[in-house]
Amino acid sequence: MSVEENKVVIRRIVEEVWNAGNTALIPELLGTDYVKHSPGGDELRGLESVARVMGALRAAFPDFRMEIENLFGEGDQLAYQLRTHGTFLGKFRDIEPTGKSFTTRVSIIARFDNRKVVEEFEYMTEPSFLEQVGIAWRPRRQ
Amino acid sequence: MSAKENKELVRRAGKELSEIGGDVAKARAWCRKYYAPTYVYHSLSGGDLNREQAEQYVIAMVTAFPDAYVENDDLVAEGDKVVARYTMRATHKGSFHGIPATGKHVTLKGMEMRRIVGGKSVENWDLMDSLGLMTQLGAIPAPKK
Repeated sequence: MSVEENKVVIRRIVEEVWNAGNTALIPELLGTDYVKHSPGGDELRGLESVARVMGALRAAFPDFRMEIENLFGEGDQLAYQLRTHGTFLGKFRDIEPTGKSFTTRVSIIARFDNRKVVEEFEYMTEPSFLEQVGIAWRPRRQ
Repeated sequence: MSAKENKELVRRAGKELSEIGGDVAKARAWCRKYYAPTYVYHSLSGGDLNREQAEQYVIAMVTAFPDAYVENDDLVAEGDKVVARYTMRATHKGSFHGIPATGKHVTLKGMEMRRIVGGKSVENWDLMDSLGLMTQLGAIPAPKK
């Protein structure tokens, strides 16, 4: 399995699953033991969790879209960078929508096994995202 | 330079960054060694810093966290790009973003995606768990789970 073949898998996840919302493709592109590590040690495990998070995001940000800005790798790993956009129009967890739009940058390292993504580490411009959509997070000045 | 050499460069830069020990002159020398004159740092806030501004940022970091120790948990490279998933461990000994020294031991995780030309970084997209850092410093409340 080559790096170029793995890149095709990432492009399909971005275009067909995230942007077009075709969650039926998830088992074809992600391994059953898939895990995503996010900042702060949060983990997203398994394909059902991925579909659930995707559903919640698309409900809160109905125009959610992502574009690949960088995609490179070696061996069984790929790094990629996304530009994501959306408008906060639906309730997210217990947060009421603000109607504000955002654009963020996300960097991810993905590990592949047998043509499927099995593990990802993800970082994003989180403070900027929260500010843009109008969720308060500012530090307390001491 | 090959992808392998670029990875070695990132490894060496991380090791030498960990040896700066809060010394401003060493921090400047480190920036001159590893940043190209046209260097652009794409910051977490979405804004860009030029080489001079990036140097000020490095100085601010090593002054606030003089014992910072950086470890690369993952290095992936192809062509002129290298990504590093890193963990920085440090003690908060100087003012940082308006937060006076707390003496707290902190762990900061993040990911830097660099473009390297002729042995120097020309571009760096850096993303880190800044909310986690601010929480560890007591500047923002811990998130509700």
